[in-house]
Amino acid sequence: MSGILEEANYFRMIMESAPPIRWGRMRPFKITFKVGSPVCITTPWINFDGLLAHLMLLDSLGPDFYITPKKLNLTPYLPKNRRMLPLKRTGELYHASVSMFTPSNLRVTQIYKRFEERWAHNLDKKKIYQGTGTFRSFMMKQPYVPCKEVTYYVHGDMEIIRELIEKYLVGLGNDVRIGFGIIRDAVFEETPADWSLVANGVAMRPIPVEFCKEYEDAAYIAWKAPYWAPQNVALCVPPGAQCVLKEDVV
Amino acid sequence: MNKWRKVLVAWSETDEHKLQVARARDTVRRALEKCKQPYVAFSGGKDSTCVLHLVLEQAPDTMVLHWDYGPYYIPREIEQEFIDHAKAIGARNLRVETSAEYERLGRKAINVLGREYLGKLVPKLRDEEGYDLVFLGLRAEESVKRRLKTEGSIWREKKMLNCAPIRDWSWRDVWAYIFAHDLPYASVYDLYAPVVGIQNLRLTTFFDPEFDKFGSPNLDGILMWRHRHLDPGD
Repeated sequence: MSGILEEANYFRMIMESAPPIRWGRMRPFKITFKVGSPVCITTPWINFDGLLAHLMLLDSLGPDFYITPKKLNLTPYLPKNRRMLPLKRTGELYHASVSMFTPSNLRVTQIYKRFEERWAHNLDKKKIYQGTGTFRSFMMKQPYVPCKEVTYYVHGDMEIIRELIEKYLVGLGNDVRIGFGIIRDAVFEETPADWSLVANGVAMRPIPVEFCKEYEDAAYIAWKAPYWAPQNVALCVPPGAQCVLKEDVV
Repeated sequence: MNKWRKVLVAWSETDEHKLQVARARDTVRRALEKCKQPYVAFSGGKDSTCVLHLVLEQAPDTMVLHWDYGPYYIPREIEQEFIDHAKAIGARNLRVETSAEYERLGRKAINVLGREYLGKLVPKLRDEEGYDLVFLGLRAEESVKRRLKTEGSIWREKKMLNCAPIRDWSWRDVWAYIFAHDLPYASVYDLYAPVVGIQNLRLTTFFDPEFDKFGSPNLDGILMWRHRHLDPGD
């Protein structure tokens, strides 16, 4: 247990030394990513607040981002200025939609993951087992969406978000390292209406049912970052379902 | 699936398919002659659906054994479909078995089928209840291991006769038989077919870590997203 706390403390100290972010004006806007290759996904959508939390962590930790613990939710240990996302928030719910793929058409391919001998000279053991263990080979199904554009509706600080995206985001979705989801351009446009939570009566992101007055569908889904953490799963109105928000949420 | 239905119904009228069906019926007949108390292992998938139909048309009182993988691997509405389908095909003597391990371990339940079903239930059926033959929905086309294992369509394994009547059927024969006989099939096939293709459809447990190495949970995460979490904090 103390090991985990020490690890969390290490990252907290680095983040505390990161320059503070000064937030500007919050406004509704739309981001359109023009993508140059299909986007790999393992969930039906990519949550924008999760994506932004990833970029914020990358910005604060620098190269240390790549050694962050994989199964430890660092959020509670982070300093407030770096924990909060530059997005409008109601309770703990960020006003940011899930991804909308245009065109939206799911396909599947096979990925062959093999041991790469490039760095093998650094290994102590010179005999590599590829059938089992750390270096095992995989033939995996990889779903992807061969889309041209990915759109998000957001209510937040456009300048900070634009800076983070332009500085760090090279691709969307899984397996960007092997060429999927490459971003060619990102277009930011202010919108007259806020479509980050609900648009024309349709949920634009997972919304916990406590935030809704009426809803046509509900399921257990993660609704805040990190989306892999089980404690962030709650009964939510899924994106695409009809719902009416409570007055204090709108 | 509807776009393939017409083509596969046409396939069911070919001599090639009719010959496969006649051979499967003959295998069932020969197997029934060799045993006293057979049962059909029915998973709810397409292959065992065909086998169930082939066996019940010759021996309608045969016991139908269905193994329930629990709510974490098979959503309850799909499990209910399997049971309804078995009854609709004509199962009079349906037996559903499961293990408490599935509820206790959730998605950490690994190889429970091997331990509980193959390790305990099957020997119990053979030694205590007198079952001497099992009909299985295995096909040679599925893997080399299955091709070698099912050679001859009837073989003895662990003191029990095993019979794979549709051993030599292709995926076309399976779907053609289902459509031609208007048999009910699991609704998840309709969901997965447009993405993976009808020729690659295979019913497996969902979000099962045993299939991580094949990337199956990647696809389940998209098509079965509603079943990824069963409870808050899950």
